[in-house]
Amino acid sequence: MSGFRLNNGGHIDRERKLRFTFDGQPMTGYEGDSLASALLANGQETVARSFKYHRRRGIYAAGADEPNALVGLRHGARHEPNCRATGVELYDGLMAESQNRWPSLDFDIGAMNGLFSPFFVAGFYYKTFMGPTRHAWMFYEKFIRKAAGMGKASMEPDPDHYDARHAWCDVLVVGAGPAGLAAARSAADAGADVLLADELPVPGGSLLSETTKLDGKTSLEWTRREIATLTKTGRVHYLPRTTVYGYYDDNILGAVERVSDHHPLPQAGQPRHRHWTIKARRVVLATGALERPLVFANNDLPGVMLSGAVRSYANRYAVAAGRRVVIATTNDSGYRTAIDLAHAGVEVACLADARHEPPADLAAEAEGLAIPVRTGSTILAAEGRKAVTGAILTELDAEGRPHGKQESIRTDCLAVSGGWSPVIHLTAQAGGKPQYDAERGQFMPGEVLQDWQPAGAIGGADSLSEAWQQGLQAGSAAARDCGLTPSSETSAPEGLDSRKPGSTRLLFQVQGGKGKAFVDLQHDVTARDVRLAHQEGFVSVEHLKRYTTLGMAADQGKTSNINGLAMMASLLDVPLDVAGTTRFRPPYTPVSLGALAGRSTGTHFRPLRRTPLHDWHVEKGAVMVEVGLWQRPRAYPGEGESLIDAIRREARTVRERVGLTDVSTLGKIEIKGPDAPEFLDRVYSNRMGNLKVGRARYGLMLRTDGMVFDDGTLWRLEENRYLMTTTTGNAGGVMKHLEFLLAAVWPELKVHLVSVSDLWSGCAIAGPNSRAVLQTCVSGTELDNDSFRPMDVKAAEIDGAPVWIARLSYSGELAYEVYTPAPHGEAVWKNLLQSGKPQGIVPYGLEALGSLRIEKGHVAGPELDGRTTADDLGLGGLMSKKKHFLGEALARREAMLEADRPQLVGLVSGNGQPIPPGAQLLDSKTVREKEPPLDAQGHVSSPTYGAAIGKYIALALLHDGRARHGESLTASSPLTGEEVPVVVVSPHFYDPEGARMNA
Amino acid sequence: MPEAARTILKRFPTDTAEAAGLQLRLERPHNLLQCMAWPGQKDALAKAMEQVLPSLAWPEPGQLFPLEEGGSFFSTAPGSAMLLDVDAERAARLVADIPMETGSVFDQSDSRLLLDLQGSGVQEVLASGLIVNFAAWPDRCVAATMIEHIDVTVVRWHAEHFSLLVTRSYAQSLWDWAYETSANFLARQAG
Repeated sequence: MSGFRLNNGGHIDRERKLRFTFDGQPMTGYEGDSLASALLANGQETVARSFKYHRRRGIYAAGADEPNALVGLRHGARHEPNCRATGVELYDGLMAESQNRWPSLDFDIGAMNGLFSPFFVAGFYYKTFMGPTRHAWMFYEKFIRKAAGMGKASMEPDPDHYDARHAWCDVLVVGAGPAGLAAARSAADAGADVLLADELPVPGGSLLSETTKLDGKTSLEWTRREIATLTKTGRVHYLPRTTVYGYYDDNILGAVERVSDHHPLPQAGQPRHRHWTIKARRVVLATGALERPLVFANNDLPGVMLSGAVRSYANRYAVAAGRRVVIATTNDSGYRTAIDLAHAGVEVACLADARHEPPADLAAEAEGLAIPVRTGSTILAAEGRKAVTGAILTELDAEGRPHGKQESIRTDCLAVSGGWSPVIHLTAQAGGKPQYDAERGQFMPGEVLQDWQPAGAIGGADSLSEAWQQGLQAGSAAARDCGLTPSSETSAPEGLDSRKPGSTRLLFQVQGGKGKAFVDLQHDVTARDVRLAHQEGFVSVEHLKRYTTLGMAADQGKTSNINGLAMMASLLDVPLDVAGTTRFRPPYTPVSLGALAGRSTGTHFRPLRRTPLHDWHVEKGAVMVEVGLWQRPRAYPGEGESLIDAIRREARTVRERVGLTDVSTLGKIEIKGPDAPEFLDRVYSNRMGNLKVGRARYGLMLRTDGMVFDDGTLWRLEENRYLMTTTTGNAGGVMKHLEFLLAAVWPELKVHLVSVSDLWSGCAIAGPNSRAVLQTCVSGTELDNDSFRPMDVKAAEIDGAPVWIARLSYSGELAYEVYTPAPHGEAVWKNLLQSGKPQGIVPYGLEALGSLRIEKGHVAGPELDGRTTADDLGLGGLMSKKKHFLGEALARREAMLEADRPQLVGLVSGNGQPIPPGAQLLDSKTVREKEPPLDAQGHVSSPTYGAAIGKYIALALLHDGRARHGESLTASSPLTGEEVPVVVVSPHFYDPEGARMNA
Repeated sequence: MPEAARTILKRFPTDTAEAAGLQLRLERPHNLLQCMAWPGQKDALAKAMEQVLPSLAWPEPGQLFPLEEGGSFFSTAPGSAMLLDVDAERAARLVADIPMETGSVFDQSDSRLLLDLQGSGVQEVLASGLIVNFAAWPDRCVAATMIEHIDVTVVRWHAEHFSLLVTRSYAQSLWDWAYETSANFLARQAG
């Protein structure tokens, strides 16, 4: 094939020359070119190697149906494989490369696969790689996977970002061809809000492949003017480069807008793709039709193309696909191609029409242009090695079988047309099963199960004029369905082709030629594969698809499905409608994963929560850690200090002097209402209803099954105002739980709840010097031990900022929690640090906080794991016997009280090594035998280095643990294999009498 | 805006996203009160509140009611409504004086921030994250929904002015989203 640029015509800007490379070879094209048209214009015959046999492949189509010309674009992190050259807009500097070849496109070692092609038939893998042993597939799999696939994705992170939009409209028009433009116009004229989406960069669809003038303008000039008029109304939003890929329930459609693929790089702030979720009241589907090829010997040689594509390249891009073209057609399409090529000065060597009686006007026009026409003939085989060099034509009998005379004609471009298939993918996705129209020889949209209507080719329009009229009607009907009144003033542009086409002779395959006849070019599925599937009993079209992979490639069988199904129908000797079609599923064309992910990547993968003190932590060099969605300071290492050293220093300072930590992340719920005491008594296992104003109490909540749900403190701030704190991780869960109880279980209780987790900034000041620090900066309350007792809650001020102070200790030291409204948080924090300087105050992070609570034996998330009871945790005393509470009944089940239940214990490392987190606790016999399943006695829940004790310690849950203090066990990590001897002790490692916190 | 709130907002420059057709601002509301009636007591609570705000009428869920005394009253759920930006003295009276037998008033002024978006591009920016049909959503309407997994209360003042109420801890994440989406919009405007 020797494609070349025509001197005239086309919708390209010859003033704007663009440079690009293909496999490193510099080439040029023009603004308005696709990569495919530019490659053709540069005479590039082979553009790819086929999937299985590595056969040479050339450009075959001109749109989304292209099965062959898959290329890799760009380099590095932006490299994208498997891009259809027909859908790639040319830009200056574009770098494209062929794929599935080594070492080069012209000389590909993989082509040796062709020698073994007799073995590589359908089901080859299933039959060949199953033995000799049961696990043989595991061995073969890695080699097969290495050999399979098309192109290679970049392993680098995608540097681009993607966007998402939600859109509502009265009418969504899919396709901006003649029918779509007319539908948009009539719907907008009626006052509808219209979204007009089209996959091409410019409006016009099939009009772009026409040479006729509309209202005296070229089709592109006319459609651009039309779009400008429509968008000026403010009622039409036009989305070019946007493929509506899926039709879902409730008239919701998915679309992808390729925002910046036509630039070398996205411009600043510009996403690469934008995903649209569109909720349309009505949809007009004006998706057009795709041309069906013919299946014949060597039909995959570069130079074999769809007839309509050859016409498109000539008329839209001013590119002749060859210098001497042979056309084989079953319908009028071939004539239109031949006539336009002849007008463009391209030699048409022969037009073989499978019909015996072509339309008289077309036949006369062809004759007038000296185009040799053979009626009742078609293509038997293509000839050539690297590209098509000849076409063997044959006459056909009445059954469509070759007979009689055969003729070989020299050619470098063989254009074929087997008819047209309406693009009914979206209609089928909307629920309607495609219906076969035997008269037209086409699958048409089935039952309309959602709010859409067809216009144009999928509505059965046979001419551009009829498509326009259908579009007008569909747009008006859609507007009417939206409660609007259509106007009737719109007229068709002058010059729109109104010729009715002649009939199509149904012909799918021409048998008898020598060479492989491909049905699915992208997946290398041949006519022989279809026959084999039939012989082996895979006769359902769905089975045929899966056994042969017909239609399973990236093009989803746009050029192959109907032919493959027709061949199976023929083998089964049933009509095509009985064979049916496979199910059409989204997406219509491939959708980038980036577009589906949208902004939910990187820091947007999930939102982060920041405390009011966040900036301060970061500014002071805190090592931050994500805890759930929260950002929390792990520790504050000094210059040259390791994280471990910082954690130990912070913990030691709290024990010896004083420390300050951010506890803003704790869940906080404000509770009001006359029934609040009753409600609190029901949800906590211990008494809360009698809590006095100005006091706080530690409380435990159970689930209805009796397991511990959450713990925290309850503060009674005022007579009718409580503040409940929850664990950080369970804040949302507790709120939901309480709201459910009030709404569904106890609606008679007058209690209101509001989450105030974000309202309060909280910090805990802990250590023997904490009172002294507060005494220097707090006003409005006395702080001595008699005036401010443990569990007291007082309102006060710190430098004018209102605060609530509660004397609570998580660390086991004398400690207070200080809450202030979030806007004052940072000021109060800084004030406390400043005031504490003489006392040696330091900020401490989450790690030190955890270490201190483990030393003290306080439980937290790892112990409240949903499998423990209050008694397991040594909190059985909080199960009130004087009132009823949620979870009480099931918490008192026999099994919940068994002595052998896991109970909270302390562990001390026996060899001075850290105790592995999550380690199983094994006795010496189990360690010795190590025969799975291991008989674990319990597990390590919270390990740490106890700075006050000077040893590695842990909290653990051990069967019958309280009776096993002093026992030696092994903490064995199933993840790391570490084994550390441990001694079981009380979980209260530090100040078990509580003397320090009550000091 | 109170001084303390401004300190918290220092990371949110008020003019960085300002450009033709779009302006973003993140600020603390002057005040925000959550008013909750006991079941069947909505009218009683409204009547009690009228002592402080005579022009008050309890809005239906989804509606926003502008108050003659200044500020707005809107509802996102049956029996529950929020007062936004009433004057400080009235707000304090409401919190203190509403009788417990009619319902509860919670001061939420410090728990949320207000992301204000104005300009002709607002709907396009919001459509990146909000699943709302703006055309079917009249002015002075409110909805409790989510943007990028963040709970927000959206107030539509008019077609080119929206506010998003967001809890403080999520405010920067929401700001980041709004800022980047706005940059996107501006790039699109620039062609």
